[in-house]
Amino acid sequence: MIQPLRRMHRRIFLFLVFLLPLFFVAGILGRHHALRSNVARKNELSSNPAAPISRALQAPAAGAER
Amino acid sequence: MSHQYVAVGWNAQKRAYDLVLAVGIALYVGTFLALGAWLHPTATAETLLVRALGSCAFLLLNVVLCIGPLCRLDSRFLLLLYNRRHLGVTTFLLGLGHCAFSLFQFHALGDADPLVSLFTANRNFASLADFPFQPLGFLALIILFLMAATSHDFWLRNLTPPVWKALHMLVYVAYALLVAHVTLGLLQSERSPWLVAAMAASLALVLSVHLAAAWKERTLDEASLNKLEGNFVAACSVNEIPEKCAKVISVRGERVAIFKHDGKISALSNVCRHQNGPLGEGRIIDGCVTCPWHGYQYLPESGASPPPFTEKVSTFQTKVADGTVWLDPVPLAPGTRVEPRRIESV
Repeated sequence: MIQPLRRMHRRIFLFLVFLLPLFFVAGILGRHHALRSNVARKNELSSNPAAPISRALQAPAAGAER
Repeated sequence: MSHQYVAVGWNAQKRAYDLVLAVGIALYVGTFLALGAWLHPTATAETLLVRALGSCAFLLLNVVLCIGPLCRLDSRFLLLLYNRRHLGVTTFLLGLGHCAFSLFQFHALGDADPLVSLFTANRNFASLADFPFQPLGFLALIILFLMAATSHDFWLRNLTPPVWKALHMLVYVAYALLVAHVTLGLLQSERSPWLVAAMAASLALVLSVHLAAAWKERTLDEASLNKLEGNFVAACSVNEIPEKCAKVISVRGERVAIFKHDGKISALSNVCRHQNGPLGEGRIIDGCVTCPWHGYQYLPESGASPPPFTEKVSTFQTKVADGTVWLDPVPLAPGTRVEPRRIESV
């Protein structure tokens, strides 16, 4: 009487064991990247002069010269 | 047991269980609200309540899901199983509170009906990060409602245990929906790695205890009984059965509990008529086999509950020879009296 239920329970769980962790990881990896201000990025780069400066960060400086 | 129905059959243990549950929930929600107001002074009371009730319901659902497998792994957890229904109903009520405050905060002030708005406000089905996660939680709540509404012996008896059990297995669908609801909702907006770690840990705990319990059960079910004597199979040694307890064996895919009591042997189906609890993990108390889950009782020689109760389980023919218990694997009609076999001195 109880064996069919037990089999169903095992199958459901085998399915969930693969599905849920995959879904969870995909959900976390698929998150939007956090927005960061250019000021914070600039400060980060100024503390590391070897890092390449992006075109976007250079643009305001060029504008100021004009 | 079954001769009449009352809303809740209160006893001292149930009162203590519910008191601990209520105090635990009050402490959790109170601490959450106080800490939330302190750490996020700009958060509204509704937001804090939505999160406090939602997280409490999800935590409680994790506990509810772990109780069953933990009991199969270690009998000390049976204490938690006794009143698991109240945990389930409380989980639904907390989820209902979470849903009500969410509907009020996010969907009540527009032109559309809040329930219509819940399903139509966000249609970004193609995006994982912007997926409409709220309907997932609502569908889970409907399943929890069905389960809470039928969490009573009246429904268990009228739906029959297999149908009732199958209905209550929908809890795994509700759990999957809620994992998706949290992953695509809270974890998309809150960036704390601690929240991600807590969610991953809860997921790992629920899945691993179920796998461990399934592995243990499978080992028992696959143990083969090869030795035959006529219609009888060699079930176990008399010495393997503790006094007033049982040894559970699996024959033809069904489990049988072989009890030793007062120098005699009796065999019954291992499945309690109440909620399919494992009779073989219970003990003989006052001359009756007593289910470890909710205390339903059966006479070992007939498998029938003592009057005025009417539950009956199948019995099996046994014999004892040279310290070995032999069992006829064909179950007799529930309630059939079988004279207990006396154990010769071995």
